[in-house]
Amino acid sequence: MNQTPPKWAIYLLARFHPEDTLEEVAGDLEELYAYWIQKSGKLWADLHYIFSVITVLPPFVRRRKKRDNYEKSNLAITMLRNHFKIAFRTLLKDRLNSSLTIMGLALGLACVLLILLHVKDELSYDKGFTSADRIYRINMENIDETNRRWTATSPVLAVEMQKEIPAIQTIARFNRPYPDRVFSYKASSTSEVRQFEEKRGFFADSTVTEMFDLPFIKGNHKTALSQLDAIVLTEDMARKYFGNEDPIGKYIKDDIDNHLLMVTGVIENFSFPTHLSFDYLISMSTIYREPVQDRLKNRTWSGFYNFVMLNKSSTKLGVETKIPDFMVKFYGAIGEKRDKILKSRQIYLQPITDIHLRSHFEKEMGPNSDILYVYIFSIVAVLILLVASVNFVNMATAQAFNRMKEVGVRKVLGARKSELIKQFLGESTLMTLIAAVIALVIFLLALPFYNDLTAKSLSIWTLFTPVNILTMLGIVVFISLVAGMYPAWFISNFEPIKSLKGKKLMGSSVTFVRKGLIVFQFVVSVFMIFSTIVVYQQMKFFQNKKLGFEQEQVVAVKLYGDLYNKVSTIKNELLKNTSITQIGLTSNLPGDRIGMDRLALPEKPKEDISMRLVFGDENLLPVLKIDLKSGRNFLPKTDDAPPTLIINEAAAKVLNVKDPIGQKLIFWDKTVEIVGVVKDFHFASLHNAIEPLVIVNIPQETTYFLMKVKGENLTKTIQAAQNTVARVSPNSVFSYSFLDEKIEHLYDSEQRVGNIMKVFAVFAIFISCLGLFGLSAYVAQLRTKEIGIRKTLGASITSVVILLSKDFLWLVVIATLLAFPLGWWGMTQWLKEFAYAVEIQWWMFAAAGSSAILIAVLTVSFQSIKAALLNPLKSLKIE
Amino acid sequence: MHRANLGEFEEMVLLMVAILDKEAYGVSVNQALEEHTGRVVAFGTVHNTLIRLEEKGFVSSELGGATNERGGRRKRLFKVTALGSRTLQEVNELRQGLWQMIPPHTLRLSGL
Repeated sequence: MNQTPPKWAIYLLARFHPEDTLEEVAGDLEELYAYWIQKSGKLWADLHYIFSVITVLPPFVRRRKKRDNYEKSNLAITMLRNHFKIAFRTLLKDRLNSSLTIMGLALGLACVLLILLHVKDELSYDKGFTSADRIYRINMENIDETNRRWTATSPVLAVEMQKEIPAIQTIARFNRPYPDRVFSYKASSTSEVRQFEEKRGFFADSTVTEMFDLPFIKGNHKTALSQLDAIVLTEDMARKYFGNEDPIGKYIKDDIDNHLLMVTGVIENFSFPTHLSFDYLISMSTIYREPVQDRLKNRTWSGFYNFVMLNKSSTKLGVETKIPDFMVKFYGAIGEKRDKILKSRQIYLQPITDIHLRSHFEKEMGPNSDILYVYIFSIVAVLILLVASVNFVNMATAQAFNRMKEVGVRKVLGARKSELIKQFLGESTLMTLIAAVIALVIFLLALPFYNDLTAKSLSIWTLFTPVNILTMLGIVVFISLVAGMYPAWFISNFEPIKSLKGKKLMGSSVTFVRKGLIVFQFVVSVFMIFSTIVVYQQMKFFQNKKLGFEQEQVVAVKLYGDLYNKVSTIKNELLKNTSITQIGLTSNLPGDRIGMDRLALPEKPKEDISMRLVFGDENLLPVLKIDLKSGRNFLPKTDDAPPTLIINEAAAKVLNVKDPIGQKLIFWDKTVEIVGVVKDFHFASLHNAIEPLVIVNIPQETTYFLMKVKGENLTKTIQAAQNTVARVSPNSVFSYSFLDEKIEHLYDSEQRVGNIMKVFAVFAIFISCLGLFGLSAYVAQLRTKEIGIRKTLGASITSVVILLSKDFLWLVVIATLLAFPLGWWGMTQWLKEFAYAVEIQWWMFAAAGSSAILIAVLTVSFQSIKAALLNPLKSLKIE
Repeated sequence: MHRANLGEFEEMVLLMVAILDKEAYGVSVNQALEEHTGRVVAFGTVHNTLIRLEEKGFVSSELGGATNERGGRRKRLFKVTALGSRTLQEVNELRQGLWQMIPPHTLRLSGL
């Protein structure tokens, strides 16, 4: 008869009973089983046995505590001290590698700190307003082929909207003065006039003060903008005009509209980043004194920035559901039909906090940043951090073999695995902390350069907010864990017997991990080098692309007031200077956001065609060397002659008439004729495709004159021109800019991205190479004897160098190959942002890859050559 | 103080360990309990209680030498510690004291 308990019950016991009491329990049960069989037979014994097994399986069984009472404390001071001592000794023992690892980590951390601050700054735009979550800008989207979105809307839109939708608590409007104002101030009849052109300012409702918490330092914030002819200045602007005088109550002259404005307030800069940037605000009532009031009542003119603040209890959605009805009423008042109103446009609220990063529409107040770059930089930060952590992991696992004996002894003396893991994690934390301190120093040193690079003004103190400090601690803990976990686990897994015997258990898994990590580092590095190359190529492309006109040696001078009245005299005087070859008039400069206006074919007067529109004279095309495709240039315009038009090819396509030359169009209620078609030229930045453009020959509407000057003695020519202007029109500001510089500024944000990418690419490759350098040094050291023997047996130095380098170089080559598809994909995404972009070419890959490989070769060969040159006699003696 | 830390069943098991004198292990405790008190308990209960008693410091244990019985598996032998024996004595003294305080007729009334 079978005298053993059921096999499965035995299995269950062995499988699930706690290991440390298994032996005694299994024995006890076997003994009991024998007793039960004897007492009541097999069946009963089996049942009894099974039941007993169940009672000693989890969750019923109680586990023995692992240790005896006296060793319970985790905070054994002596042990901690020992750990610290050992940690420092290890750091000092291999100074080269410790410092390489720590430097790498510190650089990585410094990068991350910078990026973190940058991203935080970008994300905090407009969040500082007290009611930021209730302030919205009213935007309008045209529903047609282009789906243009307008950030500026009708002057009466918000006013009417507030009447219809009670959820709107307050409205505030801005309107940018056109053309840019020139102000002047004369302290007394004897003192000099202080006169400047001011490009950053608005007419603003008095409600702006409250809605945007304007930080007044002088003047009454309640009344400052509610009076007629009042102006509020920023501190800087006030100082520019008034010096140390108190500006309140004094008058500043608007030289464009030719009237006086009283300074009613001075504000300081916002203490937080915001997209609202201005140097002055003029009270809105001032603009309503204009003789021509039509446009201020126009319901379709996109001229005002309309901001609304909702009630605390209202939501964006709640307001937006009421908008269609409002639109029907609003546009119905000017005779539009319901269907057309709702089909042709859409009005929506845009949270003010979205403007900085998610808004690239028509007539933005200023250039906005892009959430894409926030994402890119965050990813870059994480990658750099990982690259730096990899160095740590690789060095720690490589050096682990040096510490095998230590681990063996510790284990023999009773250290548990968890204790060893704690010890090694502690060491990684220590290193990270040291690195963090160095990172802070690097950060402080690098901040000025960074501000320079990104045109921001981050201050050192912004770093030391509670949130940031917590974040930094978080990063330190994160790195310590990420970088320390694997080595700690790996090292503490050594078996004491083997490690004490000194067996090199060069586990293939750890080598594999290390190789994988090196590949990862170089994938990141090559990717970043490649991205930098592409960004720079794109920049070069912007600079070299034929724009269809000549921007070089063209000086744009602001034309206004008195200067304008005397424009023909000035032109004649200036042209006497032989260095100035031609002068043309224009309302907009290439690269400006050019406004749109409506035209219509006489056959279909009801169907508006919107096109970008520039005013100019007959010299505009010659100054800019814009080629005519057909037709003729303007003729000098006499006052009573009707204006003529020149359109570009894109506009001709939109008009879709057989022969555009001679085609009549209705413009400003007049019938005008197209006299010429110019070849398409890039009047806007290369982010956009060329749009239809109309040039109208009405010199009265122009605001700049463009001088084509000869290349030599540029400063002298400008000086002469300035003197001429001062002589003819003594009270005017000679405000000029170079067209080519202006156009270059269009790509500032890409330029900045390029610069930042470059810096981080350098960091990435540098940190990677630090790691590679350390590892190759270590490997060379491990193989000192082998090299000695090889050399004695006749190996050449070259062969030894190749032997030592090739393993690493293979990894870099693999990384390069892996980085290519990633880079190709990533940069294709980025280039999609531009209407005109470079093609990604093979040489860019090749350049990125070969530079990474070259740098790696230099790094590795330094150590290999050193090892190879060592006298074999010496290397063999080393023990 | 220690009394509060010793449950009724724990006390029983502790007494069995004391009775068995150096021969106390899972099986013997289990059988002694059955023999002396008539209580049939699951093996797991005894096992857990012994571990708990050891955690509380009333017993200590060590693995005995391997023998040819039980497939060569060692027994974990328990013995009462100083703390354990003091506690048992205190419990006993307390009981004795309480017994002394019972008026003689009460017990008679209850039929004893």
